[in-house]
Amino acid sequence: MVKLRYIFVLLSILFLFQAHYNDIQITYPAYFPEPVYSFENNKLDTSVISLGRSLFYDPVFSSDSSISCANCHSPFSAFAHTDHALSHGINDSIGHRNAPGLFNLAWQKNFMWDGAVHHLDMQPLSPIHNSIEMNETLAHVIEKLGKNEKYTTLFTNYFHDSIIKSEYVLKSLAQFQLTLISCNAKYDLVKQNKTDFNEKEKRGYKIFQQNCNHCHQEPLFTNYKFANNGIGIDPDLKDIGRQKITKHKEDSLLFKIPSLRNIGFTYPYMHDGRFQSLKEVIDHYCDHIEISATTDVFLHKKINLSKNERVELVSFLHTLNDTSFIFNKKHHYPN
Amino acid sequence: MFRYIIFLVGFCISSFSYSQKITFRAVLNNKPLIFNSNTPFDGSYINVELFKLYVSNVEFTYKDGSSFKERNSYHLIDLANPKDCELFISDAKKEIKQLSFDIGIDSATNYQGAKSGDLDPLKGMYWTWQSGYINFKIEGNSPLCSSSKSKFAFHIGGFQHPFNAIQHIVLDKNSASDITVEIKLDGFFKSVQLDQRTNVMSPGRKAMFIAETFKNAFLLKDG
Repeated sequence: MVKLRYIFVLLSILFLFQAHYNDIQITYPAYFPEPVYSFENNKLDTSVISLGRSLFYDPVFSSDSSISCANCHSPFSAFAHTDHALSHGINDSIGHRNAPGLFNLAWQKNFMWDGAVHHLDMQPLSPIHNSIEMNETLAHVIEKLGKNEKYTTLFTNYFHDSIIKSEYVLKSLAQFQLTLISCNAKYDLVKQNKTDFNEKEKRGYKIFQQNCNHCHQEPLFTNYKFANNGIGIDPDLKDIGRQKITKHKEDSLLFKIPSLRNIGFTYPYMHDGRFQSLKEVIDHYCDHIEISATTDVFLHKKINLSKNERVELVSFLHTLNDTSFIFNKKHHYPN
Repeated sequence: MFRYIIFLVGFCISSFSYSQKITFRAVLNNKPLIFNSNTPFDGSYINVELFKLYVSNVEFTYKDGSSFKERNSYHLIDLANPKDCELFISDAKKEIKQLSFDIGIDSATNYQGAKSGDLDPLKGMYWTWQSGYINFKIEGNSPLCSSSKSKFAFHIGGFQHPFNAIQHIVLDKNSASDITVEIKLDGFFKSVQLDQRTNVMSPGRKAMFIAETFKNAFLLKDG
């Protein structure tokens, strides 16, 4: 009997030990490229992911505790801010740009529309400190977290440190965001030979490959570069895009090429949310390209699509909507 | 108990290993810089309120030709606080011929994500609107400045080509004394020309100019 008890104690110790080292890996289809995120410096752990998830939905990040990450990055719109051309911040301030969807971030090298941020870990610093977004400081957020027993216990358990460090907060948020992988759209099922496109989608796919794939490259539907897509500058916002960061004239009006995955959930479109529908977007590319010094060379040649072809293209684009992604409870507000 | 053991082990290690001390000192008008006070400069004065920098990748070349490279070598130096101006580098106890280090944080480290210790982004040496470490920061005021309230602020950094502002410093050592690195700000402020430049706070061409100017301010005080 005593022996059995020993074995039981030993087994529980082993189990506990394992719980601390349950490194997990993200899974993605074979046709995806290798992720670029430096996982070796932030090994995924289910507990840390869940901590990151709690933080993502916690308004503690804003100075008046009114706004969490999820306010502008809602799971039901693939973590974008649907219906808002420009995202809202604290005290109903209106931001300068349209909050993009968050998914497949492990493959993304640059963050923000102008690529101001070069690493996923560091991205939250920007909205937290922005006076019209969360208007807070990370130092103060950590002070607030330190007074919350739920968080002090979680951080101590996972990071084995009596104090909460910015590194832990940033890495937890990154871990949760890294798990936001969208790879179950109809497009993916077709790729995996589990289903077929219908005729309309098939024709749309062809049109896509001929006209859009140059920048919105499969299978992630972006090449993660920057381009001026000829929408011209908004006279009120006067947003010069990438040039603000690189200070190169040739980067004037260049913005990050967004992924087209989940495009049906992430309207309105463009960095300033100026287009409400995919029809408007396609009409822009076909009929209203503004050629300036930095407009992408690929767009200099007119894209000629008939009315029918435009509808077919939209049909294909909707095959990039990943419903299982937006309804994945693991991504939602934690209970 | 655990703490006691750690302390004991630490004590044993520290009593056996040797560490080389490097002291950083800011100099203006040929005197150690006094913060928050008006120091005569160029017929006027300069009042420095803040001066911080990152010293990284410390390396020694010894008289016998061998060399030493400090691991995880990142140090935040706060020139206003004497305690934060001293580095203790554990190396072999050999006579040093040459000392080299970088001013700022290298590109590879910038790409590694969130860090703690001296590299904690909460140390005030990390930009929030655009990611990246600030290699050095110097702020203050002077009647020479044309700006409002005569203030100047240089937050110099940037790690992406072609505006990688990190600077490599190599200093020869002649005597066997402790190492004191002086940062002579006279020449720096003269080149920067406070009547023309008072604010550089983002990576770019201007930051590159200030960083290259700053590099020339370093010298080794021997003996």
